[in-house]
Amino acid sequence: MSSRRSRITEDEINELISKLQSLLPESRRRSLGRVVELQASASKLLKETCNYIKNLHREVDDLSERLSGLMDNMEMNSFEAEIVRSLLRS
Amino acid sequence: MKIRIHLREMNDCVPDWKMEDDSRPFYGLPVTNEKKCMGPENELTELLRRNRHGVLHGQTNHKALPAIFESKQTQKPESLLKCGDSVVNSSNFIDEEEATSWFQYSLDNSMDKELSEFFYGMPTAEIISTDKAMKEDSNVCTKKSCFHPHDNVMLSPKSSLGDSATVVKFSNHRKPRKADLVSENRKFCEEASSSEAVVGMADSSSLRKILSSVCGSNQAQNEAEVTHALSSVKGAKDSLSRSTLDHLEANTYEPAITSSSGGSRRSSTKHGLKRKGRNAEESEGQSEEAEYESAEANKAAQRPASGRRSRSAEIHNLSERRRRDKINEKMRALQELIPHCNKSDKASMLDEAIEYLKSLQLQLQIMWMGNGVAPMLFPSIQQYVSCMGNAMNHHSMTSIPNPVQPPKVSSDIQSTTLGTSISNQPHVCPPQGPNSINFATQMHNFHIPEQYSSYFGFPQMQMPPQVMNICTYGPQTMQQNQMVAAVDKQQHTNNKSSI
Repeated sequence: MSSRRSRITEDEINELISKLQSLLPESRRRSLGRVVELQASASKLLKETCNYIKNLHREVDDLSERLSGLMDNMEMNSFEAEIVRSLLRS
Repeated sequence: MKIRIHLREMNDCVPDWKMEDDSRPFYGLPVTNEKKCMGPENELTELLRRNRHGVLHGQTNHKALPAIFESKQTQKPESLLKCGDSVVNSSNFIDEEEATSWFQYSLDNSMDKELSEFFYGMPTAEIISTDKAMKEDSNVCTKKSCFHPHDNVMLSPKSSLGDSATVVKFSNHRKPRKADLVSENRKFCEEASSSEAVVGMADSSSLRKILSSVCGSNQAQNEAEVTHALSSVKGAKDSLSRSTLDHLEANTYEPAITSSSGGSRRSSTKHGLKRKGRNAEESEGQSEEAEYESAEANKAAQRPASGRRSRSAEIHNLSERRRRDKINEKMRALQELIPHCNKSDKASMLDEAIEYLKSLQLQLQIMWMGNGVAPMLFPSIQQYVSCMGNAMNHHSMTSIPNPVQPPKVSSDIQSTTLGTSISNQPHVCPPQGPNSINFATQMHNFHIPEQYSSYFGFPQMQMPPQVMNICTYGPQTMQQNQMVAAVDKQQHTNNKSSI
């Protein structure tokens, strides 16, 4: 029973790991049939995820800086500002 | 304080003590036994006796004891140098015991009884050790005779246990056997443990000297036992002392083991005793460690039997554990990165991570769009183009594979979302080419088109082909399309404004 339960969770975990892998901007070797090489072990994958999330964070910071700069340049009541604000709010 | 009197003057102070009559025979004990080196022995025994009396009669000395101990320590090397092996042994024992007793004294008054208990274990061990060191019947006799007053002395603080123990020990004096000594040590350890004696080894170097000298002696076994007993008591709560004593005991044990007849068994018993004493004395965690050590010792003993299999299994387990640890560590790092993540199990954590990653990507795309939109909405195509170029370059730097990915990956998404998105969205050309489809979905999700529609109603019609173009073409094409769309929008805005 416990082994069965652990197997199920193992499957879940494997599925989640594959999902995560798909999200990551990894360099995958592609053939015609879109073969994905599963090079990563779990630890590598997790490490890649952490790095990717950190990169995304940095990118968000960058973009927010730029956007704030742009917003400063734009007129406050213009529709562009409205658009951008709505974008950021959502 | 009487104890503060200099060592040489202790003899003079003897009459001041209450238990004079008891002290005197004991006072003669070292004299009769250690004929070679009397001075320091006398002082030591005198101190020890006085300490005991002090214990019995209340603690008056504990503050003065460390000072005495220090002075004693200075004399110890001298005594070691002067006396012979046996004498050294006995003196060492006395030193150790006195040291421990002195340290005992340095404890609180609340531990009076415990100290007395400890104490009355000490002299017996001392007597036994000295007895064995001497291996002389005359000495035994003298010790016996001297032992009686100890009984009397020791009876007062703790009668029953002391009596039996002392009597037993006394009876064992006759034929000092290793087993007896072991049992005595065990009792000793038990007593000490029961008393929860806390011995702080302020200076273990002296003991180290003593024990190292002891190691080289003939009575290494006895000394090892005694030191073991002592160490088991001393190392109660002092890690430093414990470590030093470990070394010492290791050193002492080696000669003991080699020289003893039932060496292996006794060493194991010694280890067990040591560990038992330690366990009783130390905290639970430490005791668990000691037990674990003993288990490992047993395992070590059993290892030769099933060596290879267990070793390979161990290696496998170790590697497995290391791998698991790495994964857990990475999971924890991931958990820290994800905001508001209170999940502890792996599956939900991975779920959260996936969702968070998706949301982060979406957010980034929106921001890119905003970055692109804001300059794009300026009535300057060149500005737009330059911004687009910057955005594209910038974005492409971060996600180079994406341009390749989305057209193929999200083709199905395209079919499903484009229809809805196109209908709803007055599509401002997304700055990021690669994420055009995602952008479409985002637009759909975020209801931007309502605002767009008021301004850019016209481009809606033109969007679908452009969007599809965006989907199918590469980034450059997208850029062109966006430029075209921008131009169109510009025209529309101009038219609107004009209108």
